[in-house]
Amino acid sequence: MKPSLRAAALAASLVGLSVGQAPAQALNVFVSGGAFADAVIEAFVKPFEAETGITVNAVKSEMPFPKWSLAVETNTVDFDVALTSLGFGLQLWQAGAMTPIDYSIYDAKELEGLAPQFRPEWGVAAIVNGLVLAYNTETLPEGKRPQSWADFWNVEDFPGTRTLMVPYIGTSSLPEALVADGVPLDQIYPLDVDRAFRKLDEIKPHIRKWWESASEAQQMFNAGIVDMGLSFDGRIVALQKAGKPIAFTFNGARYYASYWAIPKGAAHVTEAQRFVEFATRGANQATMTKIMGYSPPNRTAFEHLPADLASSLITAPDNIKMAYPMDAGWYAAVGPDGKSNSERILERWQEWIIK
Amino acid sequence: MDTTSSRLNKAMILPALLFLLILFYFPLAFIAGLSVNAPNLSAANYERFLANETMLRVGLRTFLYAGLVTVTCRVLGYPLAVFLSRMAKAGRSYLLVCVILPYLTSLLVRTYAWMILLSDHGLINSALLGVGIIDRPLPLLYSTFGALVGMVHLVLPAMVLPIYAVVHGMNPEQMRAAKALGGGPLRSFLEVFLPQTLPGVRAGCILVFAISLGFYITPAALGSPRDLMLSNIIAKLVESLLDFGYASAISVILLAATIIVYAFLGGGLGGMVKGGAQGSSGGERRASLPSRMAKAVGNAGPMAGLQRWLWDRNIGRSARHALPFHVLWYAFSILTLLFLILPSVVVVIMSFTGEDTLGFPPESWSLRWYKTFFANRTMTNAAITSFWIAISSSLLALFLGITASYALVRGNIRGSQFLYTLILAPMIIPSVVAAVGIYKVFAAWGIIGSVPGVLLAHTPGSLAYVVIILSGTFMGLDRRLEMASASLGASRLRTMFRVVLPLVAPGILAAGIFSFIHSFDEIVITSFVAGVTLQTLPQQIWLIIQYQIDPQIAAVSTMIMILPFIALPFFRRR
Repeated sequence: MKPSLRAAALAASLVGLSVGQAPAQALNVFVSGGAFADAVIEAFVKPFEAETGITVNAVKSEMPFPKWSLAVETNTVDFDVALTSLGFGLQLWQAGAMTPIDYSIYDAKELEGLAPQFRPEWGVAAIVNGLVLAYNTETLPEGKRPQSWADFWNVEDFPGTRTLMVPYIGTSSLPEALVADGVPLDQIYPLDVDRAFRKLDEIKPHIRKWWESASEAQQMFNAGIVDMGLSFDGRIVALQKAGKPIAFTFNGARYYASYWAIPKGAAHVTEAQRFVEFATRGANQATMTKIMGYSPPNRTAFEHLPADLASSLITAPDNIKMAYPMDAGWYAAVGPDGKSNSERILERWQEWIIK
Repeated sequence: MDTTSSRLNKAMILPALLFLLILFYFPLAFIAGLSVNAPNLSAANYERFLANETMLRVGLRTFLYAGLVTVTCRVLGYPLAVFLSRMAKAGRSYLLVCVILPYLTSLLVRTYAWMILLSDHGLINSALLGVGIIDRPLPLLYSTFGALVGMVHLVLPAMVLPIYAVVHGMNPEQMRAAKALGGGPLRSFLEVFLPQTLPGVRAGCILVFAISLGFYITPAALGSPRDLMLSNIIAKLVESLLDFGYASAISVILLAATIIVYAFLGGGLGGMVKGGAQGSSGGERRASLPSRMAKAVGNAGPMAGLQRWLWDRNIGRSARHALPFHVLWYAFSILTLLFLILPSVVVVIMSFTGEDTLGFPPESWSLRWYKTFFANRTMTNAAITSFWIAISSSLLALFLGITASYALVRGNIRGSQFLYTLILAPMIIPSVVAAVGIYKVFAAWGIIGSVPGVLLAHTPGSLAYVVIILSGTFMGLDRRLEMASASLGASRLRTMFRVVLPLVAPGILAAGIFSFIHSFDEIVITSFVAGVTLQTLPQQIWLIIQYQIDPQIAAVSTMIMILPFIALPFFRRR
C-alpha cells in the first residue's frame, strides 16, 4: 500500500469506530465492569428489555465522580443511568447534578421493602456493601481468629498480619477504631474524631498495609499476605467460592449501599426512571444476589432467596442486628470553616500517617 | 547555512507548539484559572499549600524519591544500554523488547506480580530463607524498598532506550582510534565515549525524573504507609472531594518546582539544548580533550560525577586486566535484564492457570483464560480500539516531535530552553487534573466520546516522550554528515530523508514505542473523554481487576508482551 492509501484506510477505520456503535435512542446505562457488569446485564438489563421493549446500551464502564459533575456543568450528559456510592451521590445531589427519583411509579410493597436510607430523593439502592472483619482460617488456628474489632486491636492474644483501609470515598477506618474502643453501634456517628485517632495510634505499628481499594484488600487475602483485617463482604464471598480459606464476621460490620441514579439533563428520563424501578424490585435484586452474592437492599428479595444464601447476607435480619449503617450525611456535612468532615479527616490522616 | 534554511529549521517547531497551545495549554488555562479562583482572583489555594507542613513534607519526599529513582536507573541503565549496543544484531532486538517488557505489562497485574515476589512468603523471601541467608522474612513488601523497586522497574526502560539510541548512532572507529593512539580503556571511555553519550543520558534522566514525579499507584500499592506522594494527594482531591481548585494549585506548584529543579541540576534542560547549539557550531566536540571532558561532566552534574566515580572504582582496579572488567559489566547487565523481566515471567506463568483466581505457582494449567478473552467481545473490541488510537496518536506525536526536536537542536532558537519546558509540561501535570481541563474544552468542541477526541487527548503526553528522546538522539548526531550531504548537492528534503532520519532511526523507534505505550496504557484522561460508545482496553482491564482477581488480565498482558516478539522478524526483513 502507498502511504497515502494507508493513511486513508486508517482514517476510514477511525471514522468507522467513532460512529454508529449504539442505537441513538437506546437508554445508556453505566453498569460498571468485570463480573459485576455481567451480572447486572443478566439480572436487570436483559429482563428489562424483554419486559418493556426499550433498548438498553449497557456501558461496561464506571462513571467517575468528577466526570459526572463536569458533564452536568458543561451540559454534555450522554448517559441516563449510572451507579454511584452513597458519599458521591449525596455530594452530587447537593451540587444539583441529579434528577429526583420518581417514587410514584413504585409498587407499594416494593417501596416498603426498601428502608428509608435506601431510597433517598436522588437514588435507589442497588446493592449493599458490608465492611467486615475477615480472617484467614488456615494461618490462624481456632481461638486465635478475631471475632470483634476489640479482638483485632488485641495484638497480644490475636497475633497476625493486619490490614485496614485509608480514608477514601468519604469513609475510613475511624468507625472501626471507635467500635473497638467500646462505643455502642448506634452511637458511632457523629464520629469522635480525636478518640478514633487516639485508638488508631495503638494499632498503627501493627498495620502492615492500609488499603486504598476493595480489590487491593481482596488481592492481599487471596495471596495470603495478611491474616486479618477490614474487607468488603462480597469480596470475601468471591474468595470463598474460589476455595480460599477466608472467613468473616458481621459483628461490628459497617454497611452502606451503592445507588442507581439519574443525572440532571439525561436524555431519556422516563425510561431511566422505569429502569431504576425495575432494577430495585425484590425479585430482580434476588437474581443479582444469586449471581454475585452481594446483599440486596430490598427486603422483599429475601422471599426469593434460599435460606443458606440469605444467611450469608448482611441485610438478613439476624446479621444486620450486629452491624450499623455508615452515615454519609455526617461525612458530607460542611463546617463553619467551609470544610466537610471528609476533607478534615483526609487532611488529619495525611498528617498522621507520615509521622 | 543560508538564512532560508535556518529560518526553516526554526519554523519546524511551530506545528508542535500550535498543537500544544490548542490541546494542552488552552485546557491548562482553565486549570490555572481554577487554582486562583477566577474570576475573583485569590491566592488562597497556594497559601493553603504553603502553610501546610504535611503537604510540604510530602512534596519534598516526592522530589527525593524521583531523584533516587533517577540515580538508580542511571546506575543500572547505562551499563545495560551500552551492553545492548555491543550485542550482535540478531539477538539485540529481542533483548530490546525484553527491556520494554515492564511497559507492556498492565500496571495492576505487574503490581500483583510484585506482591507475589516481595511478600513475606513470596518467592524472594522463600529463596533467601531456603538458602539460609536470612532466618526470618525481610520486610520487602509494603516498605519504601518495595516502592522504590516497583518504581525503578517501571521507569528503567525510559533510561535505557534513549542512551541506547545515542550509543547506537556513534562511530565505533573513534574508540578504536583512541586506543590506537595510546589511550587506555579508562581514558578512552572517559574522554571519547562518555562525553558523546551524555545527550542520551540527559534525555534518560529528564524522562525518568518527570515520570517518577507523577507516580502514585505503584508507591501506594507496594510502599509503606508513609510513602505518600504528591500525585496521590492531588488525585484524592479531585476524585473524592471535587476540590479542583486546590488540586490545580498543587499541580501548578509541582510544575514550577520541576522546572526549577531541572534548571538547577547541572544544566538539565539548558545544558541539553545549549549543548546542541554548541555541537552545531562545529565538530570540535568530537575532538574531546580532558578539558572538554571536565566540562561535560560539569554539565551533567552529579549524575555524571557518580558515573565517573563508579568507573574509577571499577576500571581503576581492572584496567590492566580488561577481561574481568568486561565480565563484570556483562554480569551486571544480565542481572539488570533479569530484574526487568522477572515480574513479566510471573505474569506469563500465572496466565496459564486453570484456577479461578490469580495465584503463583498455579495449581493447575489451562488455556481457559485466553479463550475467555477471545470469547469476550467487549474485550476484543476494546483492544482493537486501543490499538488504533495508540497507532494514530503515536504517528501524530512522531510527526510533531521529530520536527520539533530537530528545530530545538538545529534551529538555534532563542529561548529554546523555555520551549523545551513547554513541551515537557504534559508529563508533569497530573493526568487527573489535566483531564478536568481537557473535559471542559472538549465538551465545548463536542468531541467527548469520539475516537479523535481520545487520541488528541493522548497526544500531548506522547509528544513529550518523543521530544525528550529525539532531541537527545539529534544531539548525538554528527552535524558534518548533513553538511557533507548538502555540499554534494542533495536538497534539504533529500538530506533529511536519506541522511538524517536513517541515522536517528533507533531514536525514532524508541520514541515511537514509548508514545505508543503511553497512549495504549492511558486510563485517567480516557475515562473522562471516552463517552458511552467508546471503551479502551486499559479501562476494561482496570474494571475487571476492580471486581475479581481474574487471570484473564494476565492472559491479555501475556499476549501484549508476545506481540512485539512475533512482529520483530517482519521488521528485520526490511
